[in-house]
Amino acid sequence: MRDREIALHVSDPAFLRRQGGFLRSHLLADLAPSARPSLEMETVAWAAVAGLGPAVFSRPVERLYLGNELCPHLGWSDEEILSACELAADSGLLFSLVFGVIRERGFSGRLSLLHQVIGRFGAVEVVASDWGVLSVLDEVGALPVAGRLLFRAKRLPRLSRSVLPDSLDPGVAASEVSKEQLTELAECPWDIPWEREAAARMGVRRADVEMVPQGLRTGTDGLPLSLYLPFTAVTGGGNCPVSVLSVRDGRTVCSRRCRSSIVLPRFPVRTWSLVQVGQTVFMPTHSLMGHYLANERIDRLVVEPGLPM
Amino acid sequence: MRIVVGLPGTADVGYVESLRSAGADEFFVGYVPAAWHRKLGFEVSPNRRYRRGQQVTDAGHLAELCAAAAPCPVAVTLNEHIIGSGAWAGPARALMGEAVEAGVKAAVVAGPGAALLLAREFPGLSLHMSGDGGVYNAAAGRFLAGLGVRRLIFPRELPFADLAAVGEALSGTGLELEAFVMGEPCVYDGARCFTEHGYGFSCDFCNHHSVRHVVERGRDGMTALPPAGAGEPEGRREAEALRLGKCGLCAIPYLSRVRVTHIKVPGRASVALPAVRLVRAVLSVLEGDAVAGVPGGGVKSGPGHERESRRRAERVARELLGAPRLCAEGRFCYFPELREMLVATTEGAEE
Repeated sequence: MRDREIALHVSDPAFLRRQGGFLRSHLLADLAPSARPSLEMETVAWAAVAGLGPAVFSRPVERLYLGNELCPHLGWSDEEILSACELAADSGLLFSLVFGVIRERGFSGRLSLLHQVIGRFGAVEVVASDWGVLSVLDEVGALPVAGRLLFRAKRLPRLSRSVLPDSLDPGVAASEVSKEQLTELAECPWDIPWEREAAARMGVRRADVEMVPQGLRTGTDGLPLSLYLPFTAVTGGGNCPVSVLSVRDGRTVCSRRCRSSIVLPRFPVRTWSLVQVGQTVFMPTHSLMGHYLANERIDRLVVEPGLPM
Repeated sequence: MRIVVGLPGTADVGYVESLRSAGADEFFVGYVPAAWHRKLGFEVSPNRRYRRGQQVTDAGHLAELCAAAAPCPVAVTLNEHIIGSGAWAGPARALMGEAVEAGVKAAVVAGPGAALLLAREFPGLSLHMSGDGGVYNAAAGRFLAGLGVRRLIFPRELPFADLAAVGEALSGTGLELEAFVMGEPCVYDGARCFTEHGYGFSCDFCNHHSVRHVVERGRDGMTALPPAGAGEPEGRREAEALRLGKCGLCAIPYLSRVRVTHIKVPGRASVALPAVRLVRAVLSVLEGDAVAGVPGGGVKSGPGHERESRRRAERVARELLGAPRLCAEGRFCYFPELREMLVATTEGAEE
């Protein structure tokens, strides 16, 4: 297995502040546990990452991904970002800022912060989650990375062999269609010529990808790819089961309770093991790691020690 | 403001004519011909709908719908997040060619790559960026306009204040802006939803999403939570209104003032109320706004006009939904923060 850059995604600034041991050793084994209890699924997934041994788990982490892109209520303040950048730099670690979707009212403020970071630390990578941010990073002197929310491969595709009552014409074999479907669904979005061209126009330097059950078919050239381990974000949005814990006078007020406890909705679905934390539905995908780690285009692994909230 | 309505695969000429009579100005439709579905099925879709009944499947049928709609333009949806190179080289390019030949004037796409592709291959088409494309800020709008996109459809979840700020920031660009105001909400956001929906059975976890058993796993172990929400609907009309999902009729006068040029009424998949009634309601609100004194299109107005316009819109909404109790609670609001702002303003004025 080739050597790759190992990055650690820190989605909660408080988590980083507790990582004295790790910040000295840069070893994943020295990470202090999260403040909230772990789900069994997280423990199993983390054990699978640890099982990758010297190729991944025992290698020193070189880079931190700093920020939470999955929930607007968990976005980092300017002070938290600057302080985390300082801590990373002082610890001899590279870092990438992770931005969630940035709506218009917050746009100029976030760019001002970015100017400050660049002024202090030089050109930094920024992982973007929307086209607007991605399209301006290059001109402000940051290094644009297309984040996991812009990696638009289907996470839970259905195939014709799933047997829908009105799915196919008579005489068309579901098994044949399913093969074509899998081929279509496995193409790496960032390798599609028009997506590459759009990325080039935005000055994109790298793309982050996630593990999907249909696999990822990549060409030999194209954007360098980073792979998230061991979770995949399937979907998300305004529906947050934790927020019902924080209703005040009929209004939902986020109290960031997802960072101290977990609410488990049960889906009436059997296609894959799913869990929703805060606004995001995840699937643990450590069982797919073998396929992805054999891919030479993936030159960075972004490790998440728990569900990133 | 113009009214844009979705057509299901089962739409016929009479249906299109009834929508036109009700006030529709434009249409959009999914088109999945045999060349596509015999190769890729309906589950790998070009347009974020995954069942046969939601798609027009025949070029002749599509041409009939375009003819019935004329002079109102028809857009075809190619708004899957990704249009792969295999799909394009195979059935997708042919699909677009047939659509243009049938009389389609526009395409709805969901990302910059597809916009680039269609602008180059079909330069005569007007390009609309889908709500699932994820335009959350003006920078995205400017970038997409540079690729040839002519209209931005705001994501359903975008708060009114951000939508207004984008409208303001893009004034003078010539971009058209479209907003949803009716029905078919999802608990997840289209731009970041990478799974599928609309199958109508249990693998379709978003439509069937309900928190059946919620437990909190804290330091003290597993704890059952009390039920949340405003309780069960009272009677058939409330249940029907809740199935409709969301309603933004009261917001229409305000949308026109923040440069929104088009109002979308979905209709490709099932909604609890017939699209014809929804279109009539939207038209009625638009006419009410005009009667109240403003010709629409970004004209600022005084508080007297706004109160009158809003009162008319609320009346239309309550008649349409038939659930005044839930309406008063704001249970349907597409733009809840706008409602809160208006309620606060009204209460302030009354004090």
